[in-house]
Amino acid sequence: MNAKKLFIYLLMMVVTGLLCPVPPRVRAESGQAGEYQVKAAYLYHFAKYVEWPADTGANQLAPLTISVLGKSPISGALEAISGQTQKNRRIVIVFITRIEELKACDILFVCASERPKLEHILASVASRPILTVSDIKHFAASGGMIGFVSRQDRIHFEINQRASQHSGLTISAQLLKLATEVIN
Amino acid sequence: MTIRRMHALYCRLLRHPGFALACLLLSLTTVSWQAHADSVQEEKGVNLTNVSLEDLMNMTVTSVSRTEQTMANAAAAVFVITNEDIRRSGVTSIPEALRMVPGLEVARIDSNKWAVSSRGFNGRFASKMLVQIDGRTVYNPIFSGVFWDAQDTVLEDVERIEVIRGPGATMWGSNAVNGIINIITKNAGDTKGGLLSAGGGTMERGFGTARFGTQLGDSSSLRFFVKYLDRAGMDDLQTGQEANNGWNSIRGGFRLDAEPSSRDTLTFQGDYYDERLKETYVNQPGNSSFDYTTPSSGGNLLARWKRAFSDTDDLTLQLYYDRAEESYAVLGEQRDTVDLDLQDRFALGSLQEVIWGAGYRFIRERLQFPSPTLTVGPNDADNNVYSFFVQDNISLVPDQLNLIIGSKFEHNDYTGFEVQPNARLIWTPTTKQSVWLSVSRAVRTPSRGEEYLSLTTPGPLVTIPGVPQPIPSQIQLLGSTSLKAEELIAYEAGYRVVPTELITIDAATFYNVYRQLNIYLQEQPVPNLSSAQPTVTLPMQLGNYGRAQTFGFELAAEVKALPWWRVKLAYTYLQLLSKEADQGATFPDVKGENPHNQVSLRSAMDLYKDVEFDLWLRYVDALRDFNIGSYVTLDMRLAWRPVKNLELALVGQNLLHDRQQEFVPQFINTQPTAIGRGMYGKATWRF
Repeated sequence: MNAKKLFIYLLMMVVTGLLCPVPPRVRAESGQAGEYQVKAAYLYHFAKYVEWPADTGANQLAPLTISVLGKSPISGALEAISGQTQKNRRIVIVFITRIEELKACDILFVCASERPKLEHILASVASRPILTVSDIKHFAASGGMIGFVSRQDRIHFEINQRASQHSGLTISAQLLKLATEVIN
Repeated sequence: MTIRRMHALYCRLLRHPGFALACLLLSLTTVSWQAHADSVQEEKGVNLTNVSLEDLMNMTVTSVSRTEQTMANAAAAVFVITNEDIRRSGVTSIPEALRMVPGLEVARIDSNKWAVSSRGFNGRFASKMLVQIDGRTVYNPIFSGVFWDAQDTVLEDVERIEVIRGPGATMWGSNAVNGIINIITKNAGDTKGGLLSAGGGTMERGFGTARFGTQLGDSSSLRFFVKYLDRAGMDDLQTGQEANNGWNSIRGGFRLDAEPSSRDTLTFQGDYYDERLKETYVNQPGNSSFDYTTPSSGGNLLARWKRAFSDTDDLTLQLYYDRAEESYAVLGEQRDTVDLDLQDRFALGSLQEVIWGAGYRFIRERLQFPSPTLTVGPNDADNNVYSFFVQDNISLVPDQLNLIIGSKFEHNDYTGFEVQPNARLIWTPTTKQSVWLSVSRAVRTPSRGEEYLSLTTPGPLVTIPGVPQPIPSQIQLLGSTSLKAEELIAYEAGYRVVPTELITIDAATFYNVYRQLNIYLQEQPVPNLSSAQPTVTLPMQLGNYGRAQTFGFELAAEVKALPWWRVKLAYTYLQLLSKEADQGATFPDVKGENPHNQVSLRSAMDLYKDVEFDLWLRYVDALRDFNIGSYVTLDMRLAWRPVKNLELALVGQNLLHDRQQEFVPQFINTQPTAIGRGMYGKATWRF
């Protein structure tokens, strides 16, 4: 096959390709999103519906720190909320690989990869006013504060109110009402 | 070049499937490029922070990537059929779903029989592939193949079907020579609530499924189901009328998943099924044919316990019992299998992950031979298989280059001790690309059928010296108890790339060298001239006389052309490079028994609100040896959700031809059939 023929072939391919009709752009009402984008958005909302004991004090203007412990695809989705403000505080995302690395933190997201160390993690933060959130199965039953659950392709959440009260946090009644289960 | 010449060249080109395919891919890429440019704004701006909490709770999510993770790290040719793929394709059985996988050949012999294989050597009793459902191996030791009619479950509850072409990870045993198919059902915790579906049509005459799943206590869930189906037969080749090969089946089962602690998971599941398969046997002694209804039933129980010690260390123990019985007109079988498996995974230092396992399987068979034309050895047989495997995954360059070496060691009652080593290398230069290479040795142990077979089937008219006229013959196929295992050395390579967020391309190629293949050697004809009706017997003796080399290429591509339109392409190319037979044996024309090229193109569109329109176009090359021509066929599905939780679907299948034969009956002479257009409607209600 010589160069000229090859060029003609390629040209024909491109022409055929571009002439393929594009179906009309029908707007689909997409109630669809990525699983981790939804979870990241939930974290953004939780910040609004939870009160930290430091809220009334001088920390009102300090950044709202969300720490992510472990490896999870949520890390990418959290970029969407990083830098946004909630209750006049700027959201900052921090990634840590071990619970010992945890510094100032308001919300701790425990990735599913940390499941075998769960008891140790929750014990480490129990005395600090940190909202613990995770998508590990039975997180709320195990002592975590808010656990994500999958229900028929939708993400819902369970709340362990006793754990949050123990750490000095107050979860608003609105959020409790939306939870699929509230553990006391 | 004149305009006329260009036009003529253009028309010739368009007829070549490869060219048409290239154009389609190019146009899709163009469209998706445009759409991507538009939607870059949209996607990044999928700013869900503006969505209210209540609306967040209503959003359906596309569950990520245990699939994507599996594939990105696999140093093998992996294809995953997702639950969504199964639903949108409109398939009603597992073998039909396998048609979308590159590297697999799926041909329907009649309504209740399929020929499915990977990378060549397809046939009703294709033996070079391992099939598992939730960890339970489903192959028949008589011919090391699968009775596909008996492998079924609630398709809506299938999590995914993983297909690995090639000898795959060392972890699975013998007979995974050309591939492994792993059907994985959903965890009971993911199927809570009820599902009721029912429908009917032309080929799928009637079907219904009821499943109910519930939470049990704090950390367990249970589901149970009942499923019924009634299928019409495929058509007679000449008349086009429905032939006698329809079937019905009822099946029930359960699955329990529990997490007694945060480190332990426990699964307990079981099934029972009962079927009636209609068959017409032709070319029987005396040139007769007769109808027969074959009962087939079976059940299984499986228990699995997994303990996670840490992120990198875990231990799994599995035990199952499986029983199957069939009474074909030519063979009756009752089979009991008990299998115990242990698998341990641990990190060795910071750069190595070791997986090792040990297993024991016991199979007891009872056989009956109602017909003098077929016997398969002693009526009772027990078979023991002991296996051990070890695999080390070494991080040569952390997160970039991994070397995986391993081997499986097995002892079976037929060929004794077998070793199957393999080595793989996977290079991931960026998160969006990976290249892998692999060399493996795999064996296929002889099946019981091959050891003890004696099958007599009518042959052609033969002229022998001393007899004026040609006389009828019968071909007698004979097995051999001194068979060795068939051997394969496979050299494979693959490349995976995600050039943009919207396109995924996965390509694999292989060069297979087979030795000690089981083929038949023609022996001296034995005339029987004494009786009134002279005949001659042509004995064919099975032995490890064959050698062959094959080469192939497989491509899977997924294009999210628009947010509401996904296209998935699968292309398969298979070429027999050489075949040799020792000592004058006859090597069947495998070239003419497997298609050179296959294409599967699926389009899934989400239109308006809650309407789905799906198309599936397939092309399969000719099977010259069987006089079956190449064909193009189309399946179409239109689905609508009028209210939440109710889905109505209308599916048309094989729409492009009146009648198409896909394969021929083999060894056992049942009536050959062809498939025609079919349509069914289905309603699914979840509560």
